[in-house]
Amino acid sequence: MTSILQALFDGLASGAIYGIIALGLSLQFGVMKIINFAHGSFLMVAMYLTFWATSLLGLHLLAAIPLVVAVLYLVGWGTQRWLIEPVYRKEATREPISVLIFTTGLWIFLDNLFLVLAGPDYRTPAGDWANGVFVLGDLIFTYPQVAGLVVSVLVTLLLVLFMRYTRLGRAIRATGQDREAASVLGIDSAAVYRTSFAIGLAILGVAGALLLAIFPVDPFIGDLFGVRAFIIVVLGGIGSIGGALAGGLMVGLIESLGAQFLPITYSEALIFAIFLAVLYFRPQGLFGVERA
Amino acid sequence: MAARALLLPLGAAGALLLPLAFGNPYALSVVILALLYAYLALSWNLIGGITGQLSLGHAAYFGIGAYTSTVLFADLGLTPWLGMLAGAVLAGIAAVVIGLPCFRLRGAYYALATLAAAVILKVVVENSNELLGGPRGLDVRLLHDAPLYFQHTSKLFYYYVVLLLVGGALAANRWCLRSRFGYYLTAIRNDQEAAAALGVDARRYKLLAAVLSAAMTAIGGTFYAQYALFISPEKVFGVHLSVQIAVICIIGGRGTLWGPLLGALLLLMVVMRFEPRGVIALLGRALSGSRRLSGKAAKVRREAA
Amino acid sequence: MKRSRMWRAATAAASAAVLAGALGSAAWAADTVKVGYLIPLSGTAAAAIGQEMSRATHLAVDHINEEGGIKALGGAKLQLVEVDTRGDPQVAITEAERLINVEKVSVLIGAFQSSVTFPASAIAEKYQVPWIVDLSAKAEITERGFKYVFRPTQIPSSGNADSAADFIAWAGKTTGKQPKTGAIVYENTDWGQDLANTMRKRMAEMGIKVVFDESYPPNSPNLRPLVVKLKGAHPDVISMTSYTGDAVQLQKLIAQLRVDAMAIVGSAAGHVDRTFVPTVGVKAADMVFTTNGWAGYDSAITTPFARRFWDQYVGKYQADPTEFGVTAYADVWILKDALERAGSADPKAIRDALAKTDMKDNDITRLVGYDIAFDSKNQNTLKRFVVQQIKDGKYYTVWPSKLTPAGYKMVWPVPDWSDR
Repeated sequence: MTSILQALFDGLASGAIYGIIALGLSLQFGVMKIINFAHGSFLMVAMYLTFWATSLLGLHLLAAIPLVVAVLYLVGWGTQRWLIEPVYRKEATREPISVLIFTTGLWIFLDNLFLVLAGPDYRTPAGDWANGVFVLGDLIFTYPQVAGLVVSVLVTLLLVLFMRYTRLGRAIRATGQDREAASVLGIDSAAVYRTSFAIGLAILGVAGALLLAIFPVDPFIGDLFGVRAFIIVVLGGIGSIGGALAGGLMVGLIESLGAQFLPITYSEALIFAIFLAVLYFRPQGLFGVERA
Repeated sequence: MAARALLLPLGAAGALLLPLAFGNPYALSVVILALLYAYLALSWNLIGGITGQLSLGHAAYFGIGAYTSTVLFADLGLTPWLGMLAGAVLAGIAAVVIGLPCFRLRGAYYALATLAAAVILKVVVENSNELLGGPRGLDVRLLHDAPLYFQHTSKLFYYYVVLLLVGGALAANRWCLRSRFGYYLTAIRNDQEAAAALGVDARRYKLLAAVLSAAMTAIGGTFYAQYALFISPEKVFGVHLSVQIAVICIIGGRGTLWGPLLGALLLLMVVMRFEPRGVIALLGRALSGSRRLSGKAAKVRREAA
Repeated sequence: MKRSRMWRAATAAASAAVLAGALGSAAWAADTVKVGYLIPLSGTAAAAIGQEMSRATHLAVDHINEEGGIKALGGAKLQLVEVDTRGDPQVAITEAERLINVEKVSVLIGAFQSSVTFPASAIAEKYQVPWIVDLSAKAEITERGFKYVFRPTQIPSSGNADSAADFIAWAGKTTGKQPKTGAIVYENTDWGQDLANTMRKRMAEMGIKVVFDESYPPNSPNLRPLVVKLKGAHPDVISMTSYTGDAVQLQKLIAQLRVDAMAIVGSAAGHVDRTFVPTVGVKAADMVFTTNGWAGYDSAITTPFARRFWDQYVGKYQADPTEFGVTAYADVWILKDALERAGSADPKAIRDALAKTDMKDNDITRLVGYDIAFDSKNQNTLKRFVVQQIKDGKYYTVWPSKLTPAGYKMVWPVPDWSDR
């Protein structure tokens, strides 16, 4: 029984982090309809930045978050402006396949770049905070788990409010729904794309910092979480912000509880099978809006 | 016009004589792998290019082909030549099973659904133990010179087999591009609703293309198993393979006859060396060259038609 | 106009360079022995290990060359041709062919991972070029009975688990605290399964009831559910078989979730990786046991030969070498010994000399901790694993007890997490 309760909490905690890993992708995916295969690599970049902020600058892991977020926002803006935009513009009429290829290249490039920059070793953040625990009877909650849960819900909430109540947020939503109509209304879609991509990566910055507290980083970490982020985005419904968090929680719970009853080697298959089932019965995702 | 008529026999003769230009098996092994990728990209082209369904799960069929022939050979002693056909049939059935639900999905959804299907297959094989060897993978028993059992110590043997496969795949693509069938597929790619309105049974034709593409990919899987003599779930069902097949075809120009071949040649120059510099070069091509290449390939196709 | 002239000049320069290169290498070939080295340096979880081995291999080549090269060949220098396998068997197969046919190497060393070494060494056998297997443990590598494949510094994986089991039995007996239940946690690969199979058999023989027996996919994103389940099983002793990333994750989780057991026994690999303790943290890694293919500084760095290696490695890389580096270093010296006796860079002559290798009580055997000689399948059956305990971030050999450094006392059973 203790195991099940512990697994339940663990599933929610890792699920929340999966959720915000997927959140940025969902935003980009929803607004631009692009498949960004470099998402996992950007997560890796965020984790390394956090690692360096804690080890070189001596910052507390939580204090490093604003710094990492700021850097990733700029990286995101620049990537969209100078790298993806030129590719995207050429193929704006159909599904942007070139962007898929391009981001695949970027994925390989970034992984190898960080192999050169950081070496192949596994790294964990400096400081003891990440190992701290709350003990509640037989249940054990680590600081990063609790922080991950709180921050993930907070970030999701903030993004929902931003999209609903700010001018920019509404412009992003409008562009995502119908680019032509939005541009008739005087919305500069290129600017919206840059901002969305940048916000997407900024959120990934938060995710990377939180993830580093529970998982060591190496240059190829992106492969582990990248595909999973796509699954979550589709599960929750492309472009749905709450859906990304819900999808993440769902994957976290499947993984954690599933492993209590089945060998953990089946976790991945279980996640993908449920993903296929959801796709079949609700192609728009659990929280997506049906579209024509 | 006459010059173009000569092109095909000349190209074929060149391909047949090419191995003479290599003094060592290393160069030939690189060429064989490139041709295998070209063959896989050509197979993918039927569904991913001509029909416009972006599949990121073709490793599923590749793996089915590799495992079917290998298991049939190991346990029943069936020659992989026949195992290859069994694998192709199984992969065709798998394509129907995967395709029926997935074809309701469009674009990125379809891509991810196919990717998920391949991952599930991989995990299932990884968790099998007796029959499929689990994560260890399977060795193909070494027979040395046994062409009847799809094995030979000489790389030339594999070179000509894969050349034959590429030739067959080119013919299949050419037929698809020219026939009424291919015409329907192109119509589905361009606008499925419009095609349906004109009375094209979109689902049926998509399934047919998927089955053909899957069966061909499975044959590639058997070839790989016989060539490498070792298969493992990660190697033949992995996400990387699925993506690579699609990327090669797209870089060269998807939906065209020569595009997949071109893509494989390009990737060959880069990937075999695994140099970071090479990857940056690949990046540059993807950024600036893909457009031009597909344009060029499209022109070749127009002229050929 | 200008451009074409430049182009012509460039071609001329290039052809001159090629010509000079060709002439140069022809004159050069007589006094170098080309050694092909295949090792994972990127793209895999084993890359960190590959880097350490590569460094030590380069150091050995430098040392041999500084000492005047291969004396029997008139002072011929060793020339290392290193290739990154990326942990990919297909890459290794192709590169092995290239090393043999294009680079014309006399001998190959590699390639750490069994899944890579197994198929790639078949290429060496085919072209009759000797291959010195470094640390790949898959039994079949030598059981195939190949003539050109030698394994001087590793025994099949089961030997690793056997040593761990021997230790568990010994520790239970000497302390009087016998474990009653056991857990087997291993990565779902051929290596992991080989060790788990042996451990399962041995625990049954010792009367230890296996209450938890599960594998996980290597490089897992989240092993927490596994550890939660492990905790629920309350095993007395836990056997772990993992590479670095997973070993680090598992041990951190065991500390966080306070999984209490009399002992956790790792199977070398990830548990002896130089990043294991720093990444897990000194506190969380404390008192973990692990087998090790090498007994460590206090037990093995006893000769000037060993000290030179140790000091220069530490000086150059600011890290202590482990079994990986030590073994890689020794393999090159084993090759040197064979070259001196072969008196030729001909692959066949090197093979024959390697087969007659018989080292007892010399610098090399003292460094690695066991003698070196080959059986009829070119396997060195004399290698043994030791068991070490991590204390305050340092590894102390505790078994066999004669290798235990003076002043260290083994902790068994280890205290509960709440009492630390």
